[in-house]
Amino acid sequence: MTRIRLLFCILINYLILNQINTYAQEARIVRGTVKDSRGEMLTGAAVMLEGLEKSALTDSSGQFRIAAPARESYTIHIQYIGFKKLIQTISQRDIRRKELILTLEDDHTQLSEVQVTGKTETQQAKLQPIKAEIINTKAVQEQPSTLVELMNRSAGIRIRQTGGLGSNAGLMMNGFQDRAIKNFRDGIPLDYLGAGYNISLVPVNMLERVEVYKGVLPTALGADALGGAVNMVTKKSLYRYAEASYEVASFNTHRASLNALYTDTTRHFFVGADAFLNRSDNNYKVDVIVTDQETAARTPATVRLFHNQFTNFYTEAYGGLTNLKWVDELRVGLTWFQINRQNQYGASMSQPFGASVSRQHSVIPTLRYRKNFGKLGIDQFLTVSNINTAQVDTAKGTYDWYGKFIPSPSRNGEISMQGSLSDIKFSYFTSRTHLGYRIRQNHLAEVNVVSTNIGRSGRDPFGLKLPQTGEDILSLPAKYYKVVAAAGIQSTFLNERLTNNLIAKFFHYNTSTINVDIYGTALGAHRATSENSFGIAEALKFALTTNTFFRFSAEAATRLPEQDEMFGDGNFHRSNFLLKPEKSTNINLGFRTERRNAYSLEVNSFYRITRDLILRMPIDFLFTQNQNVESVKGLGFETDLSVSLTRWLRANGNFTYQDFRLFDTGNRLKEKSRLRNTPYFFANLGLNSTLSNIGRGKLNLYYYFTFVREYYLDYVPKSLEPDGFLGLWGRAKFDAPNIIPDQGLHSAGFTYSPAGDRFSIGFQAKNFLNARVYDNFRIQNAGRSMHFKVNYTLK
Amino acid sequence: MKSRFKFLSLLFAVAALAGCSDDNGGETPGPKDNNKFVLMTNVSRFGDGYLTGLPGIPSGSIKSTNEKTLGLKSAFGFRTFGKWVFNRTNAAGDEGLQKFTVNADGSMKDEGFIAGSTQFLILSETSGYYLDPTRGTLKLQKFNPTTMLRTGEIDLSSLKRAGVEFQSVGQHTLAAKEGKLYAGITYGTTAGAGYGDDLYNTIEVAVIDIATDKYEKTIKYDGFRSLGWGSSGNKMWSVGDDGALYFYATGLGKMAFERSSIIRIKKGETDFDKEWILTTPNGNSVVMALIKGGKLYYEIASVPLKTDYTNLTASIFEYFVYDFATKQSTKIEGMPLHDYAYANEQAITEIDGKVYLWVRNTTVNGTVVTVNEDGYYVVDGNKATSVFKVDHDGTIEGFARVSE
Repeated sequence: MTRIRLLFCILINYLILNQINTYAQEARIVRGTVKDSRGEMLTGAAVMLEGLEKSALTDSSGQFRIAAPARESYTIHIQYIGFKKLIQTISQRDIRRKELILTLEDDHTQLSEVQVTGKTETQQAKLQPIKAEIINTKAVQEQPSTLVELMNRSAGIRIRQTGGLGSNAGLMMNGFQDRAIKNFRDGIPLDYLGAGYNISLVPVNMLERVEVYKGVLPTALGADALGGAVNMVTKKSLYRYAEASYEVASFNTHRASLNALYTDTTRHFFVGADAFLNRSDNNYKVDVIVTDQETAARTPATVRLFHNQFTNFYTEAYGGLTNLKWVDELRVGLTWFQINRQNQYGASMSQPFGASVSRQHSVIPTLRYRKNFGKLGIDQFLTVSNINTAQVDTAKGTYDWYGKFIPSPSRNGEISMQGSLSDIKFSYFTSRTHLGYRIRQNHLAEVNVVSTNIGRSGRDPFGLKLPQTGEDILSLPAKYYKVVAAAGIQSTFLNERLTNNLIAKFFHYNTSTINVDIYGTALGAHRATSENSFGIAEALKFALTTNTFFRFSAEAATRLPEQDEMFGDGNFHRSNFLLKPEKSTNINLGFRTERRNAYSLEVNSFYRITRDLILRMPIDFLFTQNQNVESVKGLGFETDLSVSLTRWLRANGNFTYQDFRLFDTGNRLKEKSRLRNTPYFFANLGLNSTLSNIGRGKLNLYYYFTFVREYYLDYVPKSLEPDGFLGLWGRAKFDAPNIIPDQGLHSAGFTYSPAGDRFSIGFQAKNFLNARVYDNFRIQNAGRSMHFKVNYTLK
Repeated sequence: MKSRFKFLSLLFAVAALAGCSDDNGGETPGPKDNNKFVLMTNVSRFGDGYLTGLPGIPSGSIKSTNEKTLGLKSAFGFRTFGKWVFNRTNAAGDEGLQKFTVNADGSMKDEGFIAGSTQFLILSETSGYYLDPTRGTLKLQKFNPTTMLRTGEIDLSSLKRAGVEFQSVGQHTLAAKEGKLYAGITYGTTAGAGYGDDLYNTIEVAVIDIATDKYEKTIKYDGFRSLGWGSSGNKMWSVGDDGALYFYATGLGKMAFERSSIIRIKKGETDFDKEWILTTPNGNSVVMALIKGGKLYYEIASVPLKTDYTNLTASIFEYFVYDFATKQSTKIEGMPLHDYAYANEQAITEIDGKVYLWVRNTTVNGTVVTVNEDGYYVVDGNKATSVFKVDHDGTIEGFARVSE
């Protein structure tokens, strides 16, 4: 902790000193806000002081500040595409006396341009023909909210965490989960970053926004995702800035982030760094059953978790060249991350662990090259990395819920009898190539190719060995190569009222390893397999007015089997080289309308039919095996409404209902039963209030409520489901104890910016009614917690 | 490995349940209650399922559930003792010994759970044994089945053999007869954890005096491995009406389905009867039998089992009756080929003096399994007729009376 505080103090001192120096060199600061005629802030407007060669771009709040020599008055030129140029002379007295607000008038001769280019990238993303849920992280970065919480407040998305900060977070949408959903950062598949960068770890301050694609993926996201993708878009800036945030919270939780960028447009280079830290004891209270060591009597108890600490460091340093003849951007990055995790429990909280730990670390170089050659744009990404993971389970006994160690003469580990001291290295080589070619004004052709080479090597002195040679199974070479290629064309028609995307995809993988099986006759034989598959996607958007449109998309999607699903573990989990890719047809139909500063409404429905889902199945007395066993189809419906109740109060609500059921099961009890262990109704409600002129600053108050309807761990035959309308009320028609109960979660907080956007403080009380929260069967998440966060930005 | 153990322990749990039928040890009769039956079914093989109380032996076609049915995360066989039902996992799927009773309305009542228990034996209302590997694989835990509380342990670490990676007692076999406890000794490997990895081609069983908890001796039978299978709900031994204790050498693991046999300790004896053995043709796995009236009812495969286990789940099994007097086996007619008894402790069971046989017949096409019938037949001579069938596509995992 001392290290964290020291780092934070150094950072704050640096930022303050830097600011003092800046003031000393310039006599005056000209600052103001640029808006359009509807009062919307304009980001990226060019502001110039006539005759002084001083200029700036407005930030995401529409604000600018220019340091300039003292003058009696300044003539300001403001330009923004889609708006008439504004020239205004402002006196020094005006600047001192009041907040300068400059309003640009629409230029109706460029109206169609205005609709697109006059919006932020985040706004644009909401309007794409391919349906994406856009989580505007930048807008709430002052809040001590996690990305997981932000995503859970969005329609159609549920993230389940297996505990506190740093615990595994599984995303579910449209009935898909786990490996059917792929994660990206800035369009690059995230696999190469291991566990170092994911939705449960990344502070919201690091991101511009998160795009969640349900169903169809755009051409630029190349992955064998079955039902969707999450693209974390990092912050983009045209100018120098430094930004730091620090959050302290219950359970000895500390989160810090630092982003800094230095650009020199005249010398065409930039350097920067992004870093974050997550650390928590996660020692919240849980309700468990404790067992008396002597009598084996069981009694319920409330205990504090004692071996649940999580620490994660992540740093990326980068630099590059911009706007040269041969390159628009050449970016070289070097990422380092380290994860240390104590393992308090396994798949449920029935048995505590007190000594087992997991670790992961890596150093990852990356290279990205972007250039537009006239109509042709090239974007190439390359990375080579080794991710090292270690698992330690050598306790030679067990722990009780009070942290007491109970030695066992027969156990080597506490999680498993034989224990583990594994050290595994995963090597990745990832290449992503994206080409875009504009054909006239209204067609854009794109090609995207992602290839991934994965190798695994390692050892575990306590792990499985080949029965004949004694060779460590982890030391056997295992290779996996995957290519996903997409070609698409985006076209606009009818004066851009109609936008069409058509995408074709190709999937290929090949893989090889030594096939081992403790009873198999093919012991030691080298096995290889490969598969090709194709997919197609279509997305259409039709705008009725500038702010109202319909959206339709459909995709035939594929997920390739992963290496471990085919190879098994060389022991009781058998290989299956006949696994077929999972296939899904997804259809989305949506409608969105909005009236600025009044309301926005989005309604979306989706249908999916998925075949050959890969599941790990017990196949006989001894063995398990991954098989293509399940098929799922059904409809989902979600709606999201935001209303400005008053000038200072805004309400937002959404709900999702999804009715995904098994079919072609050949089993009367399973046929048409809901997907097990999957929420089917959830809703959110939020109230947001912004009060300006509180002191000299701005106060934002908010309240969120999240509800998840109870759902069952196992399949419930359709005939035994609750009777209530859509299953929203009532109980199953048998004694079904394996249930994840109704969840209702209330959180509230505020952020306060004393002067502009530079500095803010945030406070949030999460789950302030201290409800028992479970995302997974019998894994309890934290109860009430308090969070305090400060942000400091220097531009 | 973790999931493998989870799976194995699940199997284990069920086995222990199954092993606890009324004939447990042939000792004190269990507590009595009204005439009730319990039916365990799963939704699909090895998956979750149901425990349903029934007012009597059903007939015709029945549903697998009713409004009082209890959902179970793991439904893989059970054992009974008087009015008690023992499952080797609780409803949530945690490994241990779960005791239920059947309420008057047919619903299940949770009567206690001992976490960590694997193989077990109920000797009487107040005495039982179980193996908790965490407490020690060379220790047998003692408990009171009425209170479901642990009462002590028997330390058998003196049986430790030097140089053996993995050794356990009572993992696959825990049986009792005439005041003696018979606990199978397993010598295996760390990786196999005693499953299918027997180091020696000899069956060894520790004999412990129940009155004094003292180890007396180890009895051996050469030429066999894999006596019982600890992760199964089926206890894989039974006491016949002739007073002898019959054990089933399953042929699983390193035996590769060779010489699967039934061996015994005769009434009044404490060592194996080397004069009598029922050995099945190679390619078999005997896990279940019933000994009654000079007959022995058992199940064998109609075609040899493959050593890669690929036909173990197929409907290729038949029931035979062996006559102790003539030493001849006769096939029981009147029913289709059926599934391996697996963990169903009551696959061959006696109710009111009659022998009932579990028959599940399926047709397999790729990964699609069509259940043609799944129910019980009653034996009359060398013929059997259908009594009831469950209208589902899962598997019956046991059917037993819970009162006397």
